[in-house]
Amino acid sequence: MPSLDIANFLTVALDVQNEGYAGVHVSGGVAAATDGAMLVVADWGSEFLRGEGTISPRAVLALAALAEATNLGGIDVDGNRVIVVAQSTRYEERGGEVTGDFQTIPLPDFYCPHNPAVVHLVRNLTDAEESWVPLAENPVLKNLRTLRANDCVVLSGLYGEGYELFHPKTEGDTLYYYSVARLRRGLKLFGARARLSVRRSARGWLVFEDGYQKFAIAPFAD
Amino acid sequence: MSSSELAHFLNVALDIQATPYPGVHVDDGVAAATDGVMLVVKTFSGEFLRGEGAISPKAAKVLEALAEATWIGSIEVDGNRVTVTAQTTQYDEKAGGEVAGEYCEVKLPEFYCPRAPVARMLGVLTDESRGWVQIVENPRIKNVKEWSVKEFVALVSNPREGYELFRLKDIDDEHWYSVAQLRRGLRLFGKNSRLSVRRNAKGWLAFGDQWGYTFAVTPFVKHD
Repeated sequence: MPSLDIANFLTVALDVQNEGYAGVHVSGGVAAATDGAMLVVADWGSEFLRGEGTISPRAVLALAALAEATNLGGIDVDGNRVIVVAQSTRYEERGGEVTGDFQTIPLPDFYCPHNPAVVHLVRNLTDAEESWVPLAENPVLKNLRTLRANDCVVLSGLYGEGYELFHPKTEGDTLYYYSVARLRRGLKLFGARARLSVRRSARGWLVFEDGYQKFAIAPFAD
Repeated sequence: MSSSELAHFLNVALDIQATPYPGVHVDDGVAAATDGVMLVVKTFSGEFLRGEGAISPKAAKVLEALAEATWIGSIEVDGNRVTVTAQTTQYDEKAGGEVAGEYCEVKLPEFYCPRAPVARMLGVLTDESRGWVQIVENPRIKNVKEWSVKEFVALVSNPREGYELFRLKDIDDEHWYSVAQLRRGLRLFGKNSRLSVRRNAKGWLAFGDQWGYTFAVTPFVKHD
């Protein structure tokens, strides 16, 4: 019984994070990764994700593999130190391989700098000063799959459920536009059945969320 | 600073292994994975890979990720229990960044995996009664990379160093091989591998290199 949601978040986080903001940043039960222009956030609760610190990309790689392999009971972060509680399996004569007890696995310590800007970015997602307005519930994002990765898109202006959220950018389009490549990378966070809510800030940031996971993206501006 | 060769071996081994022989089987410094048709083997030093047992696919994936992330100093296997020593990193003010740190012990969660008779499988590769003969050193296998994975191939009649080892299968061939299987197993070898190829009387092929990697594959056989 692997922790596939966690493994998927960590895989997307590894893809999104980059130098300057390296690693997955943990605080108050929330994990976040960013490159400054994209931000992925998961709120796993402080009972499951304890402590505060930065999980280095190396440790994230191992943690993602553990989550893909088995059920995780909890993650403790203290600076760059990561301790995972992972479920073992054992053989039972009648059932074959069955779930076993939870074991505590301290990962090797890998250095990763703490970047306070990440906390600031996460805070912005709920900051009233950013003037967030809800845009759409469960929009269609099919265009993002058919357009080329190096295309850019703008909001279509049709925000009812079931309408395409984006259309390709054309000359004279609105102020803010978004990279298809980036949108595709971040939206991998969500499964096929996720019911997405979309918000926009006054500065053109978009946030996609499905309850406990968020993907935020900064716009390009003309 | 990563154990990329170990990670690569585990990646290929994970692709090859399948029921009824899941996992990576360890015995006396040797790691092997098989699906009963293909077999990949790596001989490590007995100091690096200790003990005996089966690393389950779940544990092999975690080990692969660790090997990709950092330098692995040693692996100890005891049944399904896997303990590795992995190098940490730390911040060094003089260097102004991340530097290699000390090794620490990481006990992977124990995942059940049935044991396979590795010693017997490996024995097949060196069993003289099976009529193994060396057929060529360092042949070309470029065709295998170019042909469709659905194709089947046979050995050329007189394999020579630097020349293609395989041709497309003929209707009369007694033994032939799947391009898909060959590709999966030959991924084991790097660009600088000097391949040595052997064949046994039943048509098994074994590719080995100077770094201790072996890939063996069984043939499809013509039945009259």
